[in-house]
Amino acid sequence: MADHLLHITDLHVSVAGNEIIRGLDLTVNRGSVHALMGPNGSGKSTLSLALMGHPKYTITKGDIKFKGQSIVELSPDERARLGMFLGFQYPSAVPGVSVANFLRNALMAHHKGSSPLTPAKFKQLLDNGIRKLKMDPAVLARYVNDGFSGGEKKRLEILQALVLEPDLEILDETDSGLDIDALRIIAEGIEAQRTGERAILLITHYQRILNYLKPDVVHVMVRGKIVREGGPELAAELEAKGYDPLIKELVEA
Amino acid sequence: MATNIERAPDVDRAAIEQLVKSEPDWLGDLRRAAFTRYEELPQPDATTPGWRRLSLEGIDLRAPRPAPTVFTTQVSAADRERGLVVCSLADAARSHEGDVRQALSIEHKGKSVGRYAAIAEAAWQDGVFVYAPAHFVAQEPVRIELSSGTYPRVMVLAGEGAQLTVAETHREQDPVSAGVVDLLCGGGAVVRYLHVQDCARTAAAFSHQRAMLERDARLITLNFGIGGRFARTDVEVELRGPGAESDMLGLVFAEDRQQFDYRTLQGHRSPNTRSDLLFKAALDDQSHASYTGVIVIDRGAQRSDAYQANRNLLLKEGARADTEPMLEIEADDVRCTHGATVGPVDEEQLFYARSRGLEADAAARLIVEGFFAEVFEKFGNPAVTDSLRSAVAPHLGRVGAV
Repeated sequence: MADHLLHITDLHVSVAGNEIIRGLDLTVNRGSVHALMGPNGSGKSTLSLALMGHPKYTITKGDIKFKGQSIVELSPDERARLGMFLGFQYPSAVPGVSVANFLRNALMAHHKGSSPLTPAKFKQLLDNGIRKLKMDPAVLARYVNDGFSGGEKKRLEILQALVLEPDLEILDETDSGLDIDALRIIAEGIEAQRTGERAILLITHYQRILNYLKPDVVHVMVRGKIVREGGPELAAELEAKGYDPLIKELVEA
Repeated sequence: MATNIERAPDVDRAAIEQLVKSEPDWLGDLRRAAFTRYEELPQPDATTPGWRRLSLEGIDLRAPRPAPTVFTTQVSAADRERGLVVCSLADAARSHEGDVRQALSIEHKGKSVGRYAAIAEAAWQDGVFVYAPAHFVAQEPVRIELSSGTYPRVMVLAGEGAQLTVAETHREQDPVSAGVVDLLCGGGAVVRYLHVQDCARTAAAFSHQRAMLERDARLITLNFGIGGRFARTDVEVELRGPGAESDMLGLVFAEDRQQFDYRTLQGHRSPNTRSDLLFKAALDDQSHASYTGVIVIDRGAQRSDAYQANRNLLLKEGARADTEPMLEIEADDVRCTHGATVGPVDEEQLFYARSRGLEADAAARLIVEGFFAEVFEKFGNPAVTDSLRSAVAPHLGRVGAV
């Protein structure tokens, strides 16, 4: 039990009255990479937004424990400060707020309103992240996600994780819409964060990114539930056969 | 409660005649004509066209007798030495009589001189005259602060190719004030003009600003409204010369029961002219912003480009904004777009910022700051806009969870 960073039991989530997650159980261990795979519409993004506390996603039943504490009543910012991070599939633009300013504010929020770093150290931290992710240094002065390409947005999500150093990183389709070079850079960026106790929950439709980032555990989600769990070989199997046999199996069962 | 200022008696013709006594005839004629216009225009109330969206209850709009104008200016000594003139407008009416007379006599095509602009033209006592000779490039912004004066008048004349920034702040305590600003930009001149309205919270503040741009001139204006109980601002830009360009920016932060009424004119009179307008308001409590924007493109102003956007952020349920664009386009080869939005802080933006650890109020503040920052940056002179950011900061502290 001590290894359970995230422990979800019998979770039901509704959006605008429609139940999308229907009795989901999932456990993420400290220090490991979990891949959550599934066909489109299986509820993967709903799960990620519900985990982070999006106000439009209502938990109607079940529980989410993070670090042994139930978080379903916590606000999104409380969850973030507790060590959760969501890399959004479609991150919002925040016009007029520069990337550097946004990150400074976020880091301060994680440290009771004061910066844990001197301005010089903070700059160094950002510069290192930018180099690692092969981003244009000019990005720091640009407005958050405003006019960013898909690939730039995904990199900025990873940069934010580098700065905030969460205990759990939920990455929602961080690999989608990227060309092969960008995918490799992002995968390396994620790999670099695979340290110590940190866990990564990688939500993906494709097996592609798993060529660069070996998961410890693979979960397969269909229609709002986890239907299979296994090791990296499960991802390879899905890649070879697709989701259809799995869905068929479920329908017959 | 604000201190109870004794109300001055209403302005009358005798008050104008008092001013005319010691002035050149041409100026007296202009004042008398303006006073006649003032008398012809009714005092607005809730039934007056163009005023119906406003709630004027409890606001005394009677125009008082003029009080002496009190102002300070700040100019770099080096700029003065190199020929920049900044002085009292009353003095300039004598020392630069020709320039002042010419500027005051310009017929503004789109002139919609309302009652308060008319009385300001009739009853101004003093104000500031700024004159940049041809090809003069100012090193420092000219700063003007008006602390009193019922009808202050400001005139900025930029000669051909001149470049300067003028930052004007109104911190008037008078219950009613009406100012007129004339901006004349010679061929190829580049002028930045900032108008800050930070009057007493009990005051009704009127400002009528009009600009005339000659060939290839560029004017960037920013109206920043934070004070007053009721503020009405008219900004009219005439692109008279071909290739002239205007960027009109506006920013309001309103709270309590403040009301801001903005009217703008983008007048394209020549070909290849460009105008871009961005007016934004963040409205807290029970405040109200009203925006009316007119774009006029004359038949001869082909290949003109006009853009207009009005964005309103409602921070509380009781806040209100209305917006009305009006287009009068007679040329056929032009580009003209406009857009307006009214709504609360975007829920997805808020969630995004909160998912990074920011509490709801801190996230809202950051988003509102960003909403403002875009306008400050467009103005392109941080030396004068950075202080505005800090002027907003204490008010943003009140922006709570939305």
